[in-house]
Amino acid sequence: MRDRLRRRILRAASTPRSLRQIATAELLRLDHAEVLVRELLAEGSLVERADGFAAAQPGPTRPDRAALEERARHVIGRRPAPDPALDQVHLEAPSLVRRAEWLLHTEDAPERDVLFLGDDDFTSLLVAGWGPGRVVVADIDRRVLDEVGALAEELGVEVERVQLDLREARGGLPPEIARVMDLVVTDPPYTEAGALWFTACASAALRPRLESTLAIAVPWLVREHWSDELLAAVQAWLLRRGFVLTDVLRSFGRYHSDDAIQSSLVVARQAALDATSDPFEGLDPARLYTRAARGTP
Amino acid sequence: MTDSAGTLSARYDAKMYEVRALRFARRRLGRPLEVNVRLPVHGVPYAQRPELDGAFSEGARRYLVEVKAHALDGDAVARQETRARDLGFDALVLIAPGFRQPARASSTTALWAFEPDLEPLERAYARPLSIPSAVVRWWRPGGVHFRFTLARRGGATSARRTLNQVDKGIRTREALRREIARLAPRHVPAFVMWSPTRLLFPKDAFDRRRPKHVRERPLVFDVDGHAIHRAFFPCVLGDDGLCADCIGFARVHARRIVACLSAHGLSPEVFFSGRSGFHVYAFARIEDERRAAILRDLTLARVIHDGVIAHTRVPIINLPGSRHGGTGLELARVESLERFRPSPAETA
Repeated sequence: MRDRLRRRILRAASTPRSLRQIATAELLRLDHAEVLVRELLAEGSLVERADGFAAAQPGPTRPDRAALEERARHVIGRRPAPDPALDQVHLEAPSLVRRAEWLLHTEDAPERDVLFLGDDDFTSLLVAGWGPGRVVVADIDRRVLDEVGALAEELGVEVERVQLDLREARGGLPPEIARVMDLVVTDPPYTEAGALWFTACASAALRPRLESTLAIAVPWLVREHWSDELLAAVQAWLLRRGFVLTDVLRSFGRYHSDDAIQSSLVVARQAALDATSDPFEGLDPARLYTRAARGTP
Repeated sequence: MTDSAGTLSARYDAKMYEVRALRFARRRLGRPLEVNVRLPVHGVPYAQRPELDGAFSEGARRYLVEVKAHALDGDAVARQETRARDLGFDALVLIAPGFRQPARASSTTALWAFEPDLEPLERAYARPLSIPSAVVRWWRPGGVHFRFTLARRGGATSARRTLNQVDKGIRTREALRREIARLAPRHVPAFVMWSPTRLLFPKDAFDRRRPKHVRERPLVFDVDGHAIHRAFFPCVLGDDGLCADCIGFARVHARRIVACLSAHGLSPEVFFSGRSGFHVYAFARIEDERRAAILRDLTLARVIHDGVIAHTRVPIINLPGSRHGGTGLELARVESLERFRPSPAETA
């Protein structure tokens, strides 16, 4: 947490600002801001000037919306056709950009190791390449992984890829993603079993640290009780497992779908560390996807 | 692994011993050591979460450091090993004054016998204490209460842990030194405390059930950096055996108190607490309404301090000019909070 706060202060001080302005811009308690500013001053990362505190060296930049939109235009037409058997539905372009922007700016994705647990939307390609953190895509669909690989090469960014059928994850995730990620993003299937199973897998990928974060897109439709119930089930599972819900961004994602379906982004941070209990306890991966759950071919 | 037999009969003041043992562990490990870590247990309020004495990592291995101020036998060692395992740690470092045979430990447990060197404290209390003059001026009319805890007990003596003053009117530095020497001739204090409230009978402060006849009381604030920051950043002992964040956060809040008291026309005096913060006093006759206004302003200014010390009628707090038993540092007067740096400790 300390490193993140320090980075945020340096970013806020890319233009000279007073202590109070830094604290306000980065939503910091004033005493935290003061102690960290002093620390940064002492080590020379910040300098005090007549017009406020300023970063001694320009820090890493974050892409603006135009840059993300340009990248989105590049990748969006190359997404493989959605496979309904895997509950794949593509995000609309503005939502894709908004999600990437939120990950980059609010969640400091460039400095963190980020896992996309399923990424048929190609959000990973918008997030990769802006900082030292790892970007990993784990997906069941070979077409998605191949296209992400090809596009990453074209864009000159690094995206690690892991083919993974989460239905077989009960024995544990592959070592390259198990308990090593800082931030896991997933847009799970719409069944309750699927949403909970993906959330459990996402939590198993998190580094056992209090700052580790999950971002879960949960479907949301006005006057559709099932979507409220699904949201409640996911939230209840997270709370039971020692997470705190820091945000629920309503109607954050819109999809190319006849149902005009949207999703809320549930953001949860690890607030308790429990190395002993099994996150998959009581969950069944047999019918994760909607078609399988309904028994339709 | 047992370093040495250690002294098996010694029983140290737990607070003093823990601070010293953790500083010893920090030196011996040669790496930053997280201390007094609250375990992140879901659903349990922060203040009720289990607290670990120390923790550090070596590669992927997580070590728990536990300190006991008395000698341990094999059963006690085994209990600590079980606890470390249950908490998810890979290995345990157990520090105590000694280990009774047979104190067998598993291969993942290190037993470190540690006995603090109390000689510098003895030397410090053998000469007149350098109590700041503002404090001596306040206690000169009499009525203030003194007490101290013993650094080490057991062995041939059965002295009590806390000794209260017997002399009813301690008014000079020398009188206090004489009182300490008289009450505990073969012992050294770990902490010397006082209550700056002037009482009709200082002995009333011995027992919390006795009624207190207060003549007058100053404003006292205990700003403990540890309590302010550790929910966000763990306490990490640096090269000097202190946590830089404790001093940093306490400085911010002590400065707010000083500003508030000054705005109310008082002359605050600031003293280092000896380890992780500052004590701020306003030695003056302060009416209740004014006191309430000041405390309200501090709340509005989001100042974090120990509410018990500030609100209670007879607060008990470490005496300025005495030594902190754990760090050996003097509770010296702070001329400038901005420039304050703890002076090197005489004791480890």
